[in-house]
Amino acid sequence: MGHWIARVLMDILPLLPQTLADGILLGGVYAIVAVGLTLTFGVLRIVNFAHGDFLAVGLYLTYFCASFLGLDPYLSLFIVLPLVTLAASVTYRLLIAPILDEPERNQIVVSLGLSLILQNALLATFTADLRTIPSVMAGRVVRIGGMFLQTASLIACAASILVCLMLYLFLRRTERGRMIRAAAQDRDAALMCGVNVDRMYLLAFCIGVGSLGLVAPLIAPFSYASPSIGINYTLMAFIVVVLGSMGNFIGALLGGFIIGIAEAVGGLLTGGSVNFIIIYAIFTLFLLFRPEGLLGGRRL
Amino acid sequence: MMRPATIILFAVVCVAIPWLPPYGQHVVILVALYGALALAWNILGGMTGQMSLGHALYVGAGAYVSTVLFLKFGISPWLGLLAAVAAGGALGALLGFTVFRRRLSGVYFALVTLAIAEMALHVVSNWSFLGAANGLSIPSTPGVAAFQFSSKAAFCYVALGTVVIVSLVIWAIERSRLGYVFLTIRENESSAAALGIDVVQGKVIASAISGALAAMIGPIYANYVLFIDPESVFGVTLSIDALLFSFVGGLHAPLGPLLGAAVLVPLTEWLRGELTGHLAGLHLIIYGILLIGVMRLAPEGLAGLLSRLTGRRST
Amino acid sequence: MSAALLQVQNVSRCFGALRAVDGVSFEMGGDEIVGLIGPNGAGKTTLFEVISGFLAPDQGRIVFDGQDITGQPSHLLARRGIGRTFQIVQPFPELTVLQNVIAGVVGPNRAVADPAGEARAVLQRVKLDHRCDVLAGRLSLPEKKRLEVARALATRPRLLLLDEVMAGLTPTEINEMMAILRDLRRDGIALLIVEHVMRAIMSLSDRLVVMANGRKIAEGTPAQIANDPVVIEAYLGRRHHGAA
Repeated sequence: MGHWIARVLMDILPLLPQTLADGILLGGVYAIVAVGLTLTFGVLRIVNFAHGDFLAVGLYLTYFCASFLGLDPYLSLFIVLPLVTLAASVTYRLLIAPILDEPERNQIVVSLGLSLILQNALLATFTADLRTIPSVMAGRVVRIGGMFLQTASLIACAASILVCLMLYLFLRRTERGRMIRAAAQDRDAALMCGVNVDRMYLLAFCIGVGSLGLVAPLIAPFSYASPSIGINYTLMAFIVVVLGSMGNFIGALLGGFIIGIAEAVGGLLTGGSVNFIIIYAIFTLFLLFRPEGLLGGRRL
Repeated sequence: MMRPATIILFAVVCVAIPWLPPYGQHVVILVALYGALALAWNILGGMTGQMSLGHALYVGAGAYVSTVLFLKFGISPWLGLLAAVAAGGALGALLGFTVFRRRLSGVYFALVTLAIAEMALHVVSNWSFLGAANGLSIPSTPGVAAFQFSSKAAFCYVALGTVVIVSLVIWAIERSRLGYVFLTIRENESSAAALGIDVVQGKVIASAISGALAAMIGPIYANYVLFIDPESVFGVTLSIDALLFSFVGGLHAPLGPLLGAAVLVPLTEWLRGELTGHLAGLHLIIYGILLIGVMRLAPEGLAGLLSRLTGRRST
Repeated sequence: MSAALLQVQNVSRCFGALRAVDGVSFEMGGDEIVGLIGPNGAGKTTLFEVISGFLAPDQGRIVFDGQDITGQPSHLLARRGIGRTFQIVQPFPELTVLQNVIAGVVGPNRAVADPAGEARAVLQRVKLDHRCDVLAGRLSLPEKKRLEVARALATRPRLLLLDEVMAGLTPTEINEMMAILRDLRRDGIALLIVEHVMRAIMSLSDRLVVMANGRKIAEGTPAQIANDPVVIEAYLGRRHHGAA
């Protein structure tokens, strides 16, 4: 037994710093993907199972801009972000707004339907081949200590922290943010106070889903476009939102990092896809025993 | 449910089976298996109002229990079928007991079931005893004892038999107090409690029955295709199909899910045949549109539309 | 007054810092109609929730038919014979009127020979039997209120808690409801009523219990309560003291 531990320590310990770094960077991605869901689901309580598919759409738009317009993702960001936000607003008007007052299961069904449509429209247009997206940052690496970190990853991670903080401040400190929170907490009372509830919901939904139009170009240099990545990111996003406490942007950051590290370190310590078992198990346990998440606050 | 038209239609299908081409029989088997799964799902989903996004858990459990018992212990798949049902029921009860006591419902229940099904998929994928990601092949040994029938027609009858069993269970539930337990939980939990109904217990029973019946699909599929792997029996696509067929067919109609499968499965097969290559996903786009369309325009599903056309109301 | 069917003993229930119910005690017999009145926010509905098992009290006991039922869940209390209606009507919208009441008949899990027949009989009493096959979600408000009463009645309660059944009804409808409720006493069902429609509750009740700010401030016959200065003050404020 002692022999085994020694062997484990010898094999694994040297790899740990790099793995932890990878995990943090991965967590940054999860966090920035989840932060939009924190706004739409955590604050507004809108169920959207197509969240990750908007990211996929963004990635393909980035790919299109890179392949056919020769634009680097960091430039096409200025095209992709507005386009995804536009898609979000159309989705809200056509699909979400009409059923806001209906039972939750209708939102589940509608967003599942949307997810199927988006996924397979992408499949039909671009085929199932994984597409890498060329970028000036692709492959660039920064060396810190003994660790190699992808530059693009670092940028995305920094952006993640920035976005979480910005959204936190936006919701807490600005007038608009307060109106959004008011509308989410009590629609009727907010209406009576003169808040344009419909507009606020639209704004929040567009920010939440539109943010994926920012995420896509940022992760394009070290990621790939595939029609089916949507649902994986959606589930991860929900996990991060629950872990980080509903509606808590700092929590989304924290939750993202924890899941990222769990995936990376779990992958190091176990083989195959066992790390995902660990993540899903953590999620289930949280839902069962600590639904208010790590930072407490509002219950489910 | 016991309308003469339904029974006659069923009888016609049964009689017609031997005359159908092999591909037609294959479609019948698919319709029956998916239909039975959707009907089983609907006991928890449409009747009791708890939308599970992880029913593939039971199909996969049933498939692996029966297959492993046969391959590693030489136990007849007929007994394996019984073991599958027991496993499905136990899993459903355990999941229900753990989750419903915590008052998890709605989207949280959907998420938990999704996560648990995905967990099961990954557990099996990483367990070499269960064949890991490569799956398990069942050697072809035709014969009734091995649950491998020489003719597709026989599989048709077995699959249809499954539909009959699930339908009978639903019929029995509807005529008993249990039916009211499930329906009132769906409609309004606190009112149900005020009438003396133990809501948590009701949900757990629904989950157990639903799981047990869904698990029946696994062994039949396994012995028909002679190969199972984690993705095919635990995959999220299967779970979504169960929800989809029930929804399009009619959540509140007793045989609505079967109707949904009967319409959508042949449609899918036809589309898959017509469109190849990267247009292969087109049928899923149609699924998506149907899901949204039904929800917005015809929430009672195809069964509801049918009832309105024939002048009856479905509950 | 026969032996007390319901004894509420020093019950308190807090929500955070708010003492919604604060040390309330009273008793009622199996053949009484007791009215629970008080200004809005007095804690009446919270007390109902505690008695019917939807909320557990932080302090105190509830004794029903000689048994301590404190903290027991609502479905068990319903089986023991405590029925209730809800302040905001909650029918089963996708079930028919008849199915709604059958749910009440079979809910308590006792042996019933003819659930549909029993349900129809109950519906006749509240004069809803002509709407048996209508989906409950489609009923008018007064019909929904009568359905709510019928559903609770179907469970064969010994004590029926009625939470503002008259709210939103026209005077004629109120009279109809009052007739139905008076009828119930003849079947040995005790009624505990929360109501804001004064003439109804004054006329129906044998006794009144008055709550304000979570506490019981008065108890007595309607005549006594109507002239009680404490009650008047609670409703109308200090300046109206003696103006009644």
